[in-house]
Amino acid sequence: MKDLMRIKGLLSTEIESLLNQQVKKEAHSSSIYLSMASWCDRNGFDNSATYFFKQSDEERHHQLKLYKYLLDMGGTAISPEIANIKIEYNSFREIFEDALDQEIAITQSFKNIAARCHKEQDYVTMEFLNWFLKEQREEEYKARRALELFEVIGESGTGHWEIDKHVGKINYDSEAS
Amino acid sequence: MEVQQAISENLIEVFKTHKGAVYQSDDEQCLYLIFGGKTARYSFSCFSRLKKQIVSYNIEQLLTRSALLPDIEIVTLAACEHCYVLSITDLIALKDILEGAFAMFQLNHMIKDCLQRYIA
Repeated sequence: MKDLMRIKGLLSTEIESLLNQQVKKEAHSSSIYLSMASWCDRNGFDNSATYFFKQSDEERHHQLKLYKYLLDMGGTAISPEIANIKIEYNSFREIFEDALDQEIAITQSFKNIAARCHKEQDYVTMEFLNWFLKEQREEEYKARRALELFEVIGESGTGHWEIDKHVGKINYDSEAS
Repeated sequence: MEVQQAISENLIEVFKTHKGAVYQSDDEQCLYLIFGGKTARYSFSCFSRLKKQIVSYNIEQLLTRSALLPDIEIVTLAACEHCYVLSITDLIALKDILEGAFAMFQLNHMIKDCLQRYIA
């Protein structure tokens, strides 16, 4: 009997479902960053607004990369519904705390998919995921560095202005990258 | 097995219960579902969508819902010519057949995967 499952595509139902969940998480992240950019812009933090607009674009790029992989492998890519995006934040610092939490959640989610790939011996998807795992190193580094600016510079006086000025300069250029 | 013969000589039985059966045609790369006195031909992707839809029904909820609601479910799939009007017992029977067929597909996939990787 021919293996019609394999002929149709490379992905198992579980991996396909996990990748679709990840598409949704990336789309959610992109929307959250867009909302953060809006808050920063409204409150006069221009550099941070630019930083979050860029982050939002990156998450959208990640979403499409996963989406196209699903299609290339014969899966069904599902365009996600995104709701309940926070509009207001209590402070400038809260934005960066939420951003780091968001990146940690995304990394954990990729680790979960990678674990499933190992279990199923799906090395093709695992190889695809490596790009994202490396990307998450950079994303978490940047989010952590941004939050550290609040400790290094301090929030009193012109602290927020100084932090905003430095957020745009955060770059991951470590030898490990 | 007259239905099977009527369709093709080369059908492979995937899964069968006393309520119906699923056959695979390697030549046509498609599946035949025999259920409720009807034989329907499906592509694999369409068949997967049918399974997903049937499995998504909450049988417990259907059994306990208001008596005013009809006791049947109409199952249709987008871009698929087949339609089923099912009672709850039919739904349970079809769910069994589809889950059984997919368990066999999975088993076949695992065997083929091992054979291709370690023996070929």
